Amino acid sequence: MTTPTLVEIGRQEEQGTLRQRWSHYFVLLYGLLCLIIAINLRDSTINATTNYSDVTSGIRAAYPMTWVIDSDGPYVFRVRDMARIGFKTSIVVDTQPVSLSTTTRNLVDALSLDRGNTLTGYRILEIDDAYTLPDDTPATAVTYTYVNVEVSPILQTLPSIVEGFDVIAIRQGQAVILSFLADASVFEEQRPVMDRFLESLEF
Amino acid sequence: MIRGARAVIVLVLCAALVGGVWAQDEQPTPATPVTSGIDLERIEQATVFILQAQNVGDNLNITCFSSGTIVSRDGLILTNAHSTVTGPNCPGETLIVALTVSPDAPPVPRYRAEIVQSNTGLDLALLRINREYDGRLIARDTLALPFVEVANPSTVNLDETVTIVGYPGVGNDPVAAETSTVVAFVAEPSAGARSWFKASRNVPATMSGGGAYNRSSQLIGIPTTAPIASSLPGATCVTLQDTNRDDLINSSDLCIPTGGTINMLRPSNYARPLIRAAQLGLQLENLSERPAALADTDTPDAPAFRRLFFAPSVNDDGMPSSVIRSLPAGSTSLYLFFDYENMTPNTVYELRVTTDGVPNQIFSLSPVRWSGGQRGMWYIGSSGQPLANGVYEFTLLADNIPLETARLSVGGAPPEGPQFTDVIFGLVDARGNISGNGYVLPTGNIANATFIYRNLANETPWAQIWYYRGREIARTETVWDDGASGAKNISIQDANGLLPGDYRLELYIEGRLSATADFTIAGAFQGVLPQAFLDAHFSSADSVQEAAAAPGVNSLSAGTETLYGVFDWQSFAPGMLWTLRWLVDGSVFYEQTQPWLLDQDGQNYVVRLSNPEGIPDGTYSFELLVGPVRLAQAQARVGIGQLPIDPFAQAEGIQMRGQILDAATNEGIAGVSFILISDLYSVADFLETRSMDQVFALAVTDREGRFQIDRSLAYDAPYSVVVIAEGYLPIQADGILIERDTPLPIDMTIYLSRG
Repeated sequence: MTTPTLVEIGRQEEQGTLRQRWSHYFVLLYGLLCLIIAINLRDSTINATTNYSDVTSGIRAAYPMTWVIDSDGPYVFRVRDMARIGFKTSIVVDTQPVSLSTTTRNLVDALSLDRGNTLTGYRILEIDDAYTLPDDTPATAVTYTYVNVEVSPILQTLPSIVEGFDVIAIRQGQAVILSFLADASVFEEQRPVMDRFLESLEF
Repeated sequence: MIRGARAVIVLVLCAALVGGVWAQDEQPTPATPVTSGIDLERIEQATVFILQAQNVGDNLNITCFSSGTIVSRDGLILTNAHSTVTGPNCPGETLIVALTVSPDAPPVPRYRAEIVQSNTGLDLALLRINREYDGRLIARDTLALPFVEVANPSTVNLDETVTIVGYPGVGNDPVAAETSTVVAFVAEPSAGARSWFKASRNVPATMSGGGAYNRSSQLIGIPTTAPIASSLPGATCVTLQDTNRDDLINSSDLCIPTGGTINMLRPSNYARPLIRAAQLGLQLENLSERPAALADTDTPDAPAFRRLFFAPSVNDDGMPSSVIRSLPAGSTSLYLFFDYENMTPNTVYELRVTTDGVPNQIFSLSPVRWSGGQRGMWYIGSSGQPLANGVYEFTLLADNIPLETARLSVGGAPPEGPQFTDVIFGLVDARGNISGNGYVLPTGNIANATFIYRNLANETPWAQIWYYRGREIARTETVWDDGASGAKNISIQDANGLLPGDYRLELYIEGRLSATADFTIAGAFQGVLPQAFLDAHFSSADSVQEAAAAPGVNSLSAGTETLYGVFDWQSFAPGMLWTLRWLVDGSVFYEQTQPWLLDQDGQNYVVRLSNPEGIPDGTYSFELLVGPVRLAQAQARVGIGQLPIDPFAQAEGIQMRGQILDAATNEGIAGVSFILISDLYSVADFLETRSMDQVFALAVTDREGRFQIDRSLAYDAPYSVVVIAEGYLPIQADGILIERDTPLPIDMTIYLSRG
């Protein structure tokens, strides 16, 4: 009687070497690092800014690098996101001389009178008299909306609803009016751009 | 054609390199046929329909309408005064501007406008778009409208082809273009030998106020006719609304005068001063002017014409060379002279001419506004136009009422009878020297007249009659004894001095008027010209009183808001016509001829020029004239003494438009930015600075992805283009050259790929 030989065939246990094990760890680490760098690069690109300074009006600020700047209108300067589809998100900076008795509320009223004459459906949504700029300058913030119509009478452009956010501050005999304008549907999404702009603002 | 497509090919190549596809439509389909090679599409877009309306309670009643033309990017509209300026026939105060959005559709009301300049006599008005249709104010610099350039009409020739554009009706009529030719130039004292262009084709009166264009697409004239008031016999009008709110549209409702047809074009150069003043924002106030004793709209007596006669030519001072009763065959020049009374700028006058009883459109004048004064001598005529043989009958009408008729025969040999011609005047001083400028003389004791005589026989009875302000003051009737031909001097004298004012001399041969001319005596005898206006100067002050006393200045700082023109006067009779003309950099921006309403002598006549935003830099001058003679002038420089250059003043050039489509869906993308970079910069320059200073023009697509560059491009300038839209691959291209033979307008299709 012969004793049968039992041959057991099984899966070979993977017994990675220490080097292999660490390789795996490093790959994961590199991947994570690349992801962080990519996110960082993306944020850097998206949030890249260009500095603006105007000695005459005493204003310095950083605005998104891809936005287009102009200073030919009735303002100190204006930057616009020309790549945006539809209404171009804008930041407009203007200054006005004020008297000793002028308050930010007076300026809000004057702006409202002017805009009511020129903007369709202009309506103030909220006035915040207790707003403070990042450098603790007291200001008045106004949120409003209106219907924007392109000026070309030939083209068939649909009006768009614009939401605006003004920050009005008075310092050293001069009022600074910072306006952030965006299509109402993307206003909240775009609002951080204005927050970063305010953080960089010096006047 | 191949060379013309080069720009497009460059665009396609550049676009392909960056991932997009860009192509011009192979056969762009113009919305309207191109007439004689002119840019009809741009002209039609610049042609507007103007409604004058009156607020009655809560309703807006239409009171008048006309066509108009946009002549500047920021919304200046040139049109007729009779249909826009508030008056008895057009009592509305609101002006609504409807635009040609689609060439095949009726105009669409888009804006409201205000009158910024007008000349009721020339029947021209300049409007400025100042509000949206719903009443919201529009900032002047935000408008970028299609416009046309005003030509120099002195380059217009007889038989030149012109295209008349306007709205032919008040219903569903879209803008229309009619090709015509210039068949005659009509002369009048108000504007000289080319007061009117006469077109070969009659167009509907609703096209009045539109435009007539040369082959270069420039505005050369404004079709003009003034419909008579709907209350007058023979008037044509249309009732459009239930203006009395009785739920019926009938004869009780307001009937808007329409008129018949037009073949008269007011040359566009008469609009240039209005446009220039409006563009510069200048306002002129005549602070010393007294209100006229007779208001324009309150004439007690009906208009009247008298003393109709014909002359073969007219001299530079508007005087007839001689008086004729017939013209030889082959004549090409004829003028009808007449005296007029009780005319106002609101009077509509008309000349109807028949040749052997058949209406002659060439020499007739459509009903137009009166462009002269209240009384005086006038003429209508033309030169360079052959007259067919026959008997011509000229009938003058005022407010559609025939008033006077005169006849003239053309044909046969030149007349051989006795004739006086070419009367000119001078003043004889104590030494016997003659001074004065032909028709404007200084005060003195003797006025001298010189005239030419031909074919006179001795012993022929002749007479000279002198008039002062319409009243006969001297008459001499005698027989001729100076021989057959030559020049003769005659004179009138007054030991106490001839009074300042208007004079007339009539010369008769055998009881028939043979020559006549008017002259004016004004000012003191000093130098070649009479010194009627003294010490003309500019001054700068805070008030009129200070301006009168302030010393003269010839240089003012930039940004000056007010400038005064001051002068004294002497021996200038009330009622005499004088002209005040203002110029900037040598170009007229204000000119008005009016009767003198102040005393005969005086000081400190003050005229104020102002602009609340600052008078633009330039060299300003004002001139004081009597007839064509400039008697005084003053000049001052503001700022650098030269007008700034307007980069948007040029309408000529390339119109660019197109459509931006999604490459995957082939649907238009709304809200995409099409950035055209100036030829001084490249895409790289722009992307580095992202500054609008480098942008030549910017367009954003509409809901169908269509865009239109609102500024004309120059030929042979290497532009760059950036098309950016979030979610799509951008398109960038440098060195886009457009050559002169490129088919216009450029109509391109751009495909964007998602990325």
